[in-house]
Amino acid sequence: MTIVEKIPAGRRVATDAHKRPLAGIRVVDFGQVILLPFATRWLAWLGAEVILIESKKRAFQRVTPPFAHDRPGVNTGARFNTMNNNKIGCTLNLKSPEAVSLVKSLIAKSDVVTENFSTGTMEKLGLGYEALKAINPSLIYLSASAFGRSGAWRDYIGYHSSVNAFSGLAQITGYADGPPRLLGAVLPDTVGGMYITFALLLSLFHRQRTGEGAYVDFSMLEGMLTLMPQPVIDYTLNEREWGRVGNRDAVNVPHGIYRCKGSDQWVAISVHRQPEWQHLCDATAHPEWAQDPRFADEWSRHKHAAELDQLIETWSIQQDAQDAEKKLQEAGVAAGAVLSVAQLLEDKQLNERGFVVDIEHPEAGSRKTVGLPWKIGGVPTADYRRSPLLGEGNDYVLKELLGLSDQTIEELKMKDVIE
Amino acid sequence: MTAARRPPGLQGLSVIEVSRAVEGAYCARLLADAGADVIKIETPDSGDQARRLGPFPRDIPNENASGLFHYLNSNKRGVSLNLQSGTGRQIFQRLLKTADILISDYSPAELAELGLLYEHCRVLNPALIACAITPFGLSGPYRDYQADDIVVLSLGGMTAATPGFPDFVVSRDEERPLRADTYAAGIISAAAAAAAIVAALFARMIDGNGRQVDVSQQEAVASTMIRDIASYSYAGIVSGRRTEEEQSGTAYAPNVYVPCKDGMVVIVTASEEAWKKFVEIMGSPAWCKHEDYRDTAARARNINSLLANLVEWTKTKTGAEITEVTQSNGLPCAHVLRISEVVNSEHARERAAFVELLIGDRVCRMPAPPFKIDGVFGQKHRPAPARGEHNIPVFCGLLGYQETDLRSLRAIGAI
Repeated sequence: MTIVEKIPAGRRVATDAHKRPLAGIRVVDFGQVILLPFATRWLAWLGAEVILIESKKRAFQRVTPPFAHDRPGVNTGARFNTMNNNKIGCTLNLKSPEAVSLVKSLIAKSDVVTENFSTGTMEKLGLGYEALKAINPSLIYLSASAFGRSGAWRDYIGYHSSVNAFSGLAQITGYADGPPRLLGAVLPDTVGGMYITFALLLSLFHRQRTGEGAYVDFSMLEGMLTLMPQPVIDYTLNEREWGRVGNRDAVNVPHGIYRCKGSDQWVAISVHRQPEWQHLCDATAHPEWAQDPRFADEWSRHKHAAELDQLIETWSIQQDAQDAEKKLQEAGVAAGAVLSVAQLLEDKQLNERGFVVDIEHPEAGSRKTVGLPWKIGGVPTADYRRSPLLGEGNDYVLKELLGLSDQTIEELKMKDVIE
Repeated sequence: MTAARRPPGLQGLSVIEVSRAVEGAYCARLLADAGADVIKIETPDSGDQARRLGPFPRDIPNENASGLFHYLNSNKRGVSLNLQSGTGRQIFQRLLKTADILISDYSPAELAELGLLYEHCRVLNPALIACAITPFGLSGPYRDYQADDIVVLSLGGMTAATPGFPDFVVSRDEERPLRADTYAAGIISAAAAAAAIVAALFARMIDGNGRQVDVSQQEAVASTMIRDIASYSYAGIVSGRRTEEEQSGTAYAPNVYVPCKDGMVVIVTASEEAWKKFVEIMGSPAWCKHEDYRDTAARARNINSLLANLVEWTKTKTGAEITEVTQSNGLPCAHVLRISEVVNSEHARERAAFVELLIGDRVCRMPAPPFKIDGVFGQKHRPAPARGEHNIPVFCGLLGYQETDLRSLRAIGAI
């Protein structure tokens, strides 16, 4: 493993930093938008040193709205600041060959390179896997893209919305009598980010054991496909094309999202087995439902699901969503309020577990975000820190890691190598 | 002296899986794909419930022919063991002593009852990594709540934001929050858990200690809402199932989902240049020059009239035509594909995005592992085990029971 030469000046590092799983690992990250920054941010939280290579002139990631205090700027963007916690930023003009050779020197001292440019960009810059493997034989190199670096769609561009559409998931999401629907979460990016984190950890573990590097070509499309085994298998086994079923489920009934008191308030309910159906009838004070032959068993309830959904809504519409959740849960029925993003950040479970964190930023102020979705015993809680200001890590990277003198740095700035 | 070469990936690591849902089984499968020896424990009476879920060839239920079961359990070994029986529990404890990793998706109460909590396991095996995937985590006020996918997706913020696009076809107030008809929460939390387990293996390398890995499905789902969390934290935008006013705070417009001649298309223009390009593709209709659409903020404010105009064009083209003409001009637009279209696409074939498995006399294709690493991950595809298929190699080979012992264990219902 690479030894981290020195802690960057001015950065607060917990004294137990060496106990973090990825302490001593250095990642050179060319991450854009959400997919890759999501993953490298998790690596940083696990203790890796992540150096983000940015362009000052083309800092469009940083100026994606919205902005803190409604003040557009390179250090106030919500997206950038939320996706790049704990990273060290270095601004280089990759169009200059000298900048590329600086990056190569850095990569020679690093463990992992990650990029999600469009297909062929890294190769054009001389930073393709083969070129970098020559200078760092045990390098782990991960390319992430919408459709992968090979195949008929390799040059297609895909944001989460298009990948959702291409994957077929949109086709099976929605109501039977309505159009296909897209999931609200940026799932192709974020599920992709989780898989990328796993791929990089696995590659690092493999390298730790064998000394071998690895190349990973991650496709968001393929990440999405892993979410839908049943429709794929049913089509290939039985030539059945899945339709849309709204919130209904093949097994559980009732299964849906029901309107509650107030504007845009809802509760999700899922009843698995017969005892839970009885509990639902008790908790809603509707013992007559349990006696109703239309709902006597699972098969009957499936047959009369539409009527059942309407009846449940006559109850839920009189409840606050949180109360409905509580009453049903106390009776042992799976139920949960539909939380908006505002409610999510206030949710007592998420807060009590320390998952919602406040991060202080000199230009953006104190902002809430969410941390790692797990706790590992005996590993210090991640040291959640802010994203870098533009160019903030230049001195650390250029002077301390690459050993450049102040004079050389000035010259390179004049020549537009360092931005 | 030359050290023996250590095995690649997770080979040589032993994983015990105790699960009844997608999350535990799929997490263990990811480790199996990386070479770990995963021993799946099933109850002797009925086995894993995915065996009964299908899809089955010709829709004929058969516990060894469930497509979902094969998908979740490829590359594993399987034993039958009754954890409710005292003898079964003793055998399980012996098995735990040989393991590196335990993966479970039982509720916190069941874990306590069956002695599967880390505090019990560590006594048997201090180097064991015990990963519990639960709906809300092992602590906190919702710890003992009941949940399944739709509940976790709702408490994780995803259903409130689905559908995630402005749409003039159905108004927000009429369309309720929605989930995808898949095990999204299960798969998402399994992917997060697999990463957490490898992180724990690194931690074990540092101090030699096993540890608890406590993965919350609610948190894994909430993690996927990061874009909306950013917009809310920085600008108070609750994107929800967005209306046009709400969309004005987001990054670019249009980013919409509209009908075309034969389905629906996503139209995304992520910059002013992209919008200009898109206007050219449409043949520069006069309406585009209107003041209402001069920049992204104006287009977001006037999204409804923009959509009405836009659809005049999209309605004249098929989805495939729109995808082709936009993508060849560098715009990330797409039409909604059917499952059959993705499965049969040239791209999927070239990428080996699906793996083939013979179930009975039918060829089943299932989504391939989400990435491949030469010699390390995602290249081996062994069918899922039959119930109790590996009882002899595991109980006799690994734990030293005699085959005659197995007969009596079977008789008392322990295996």
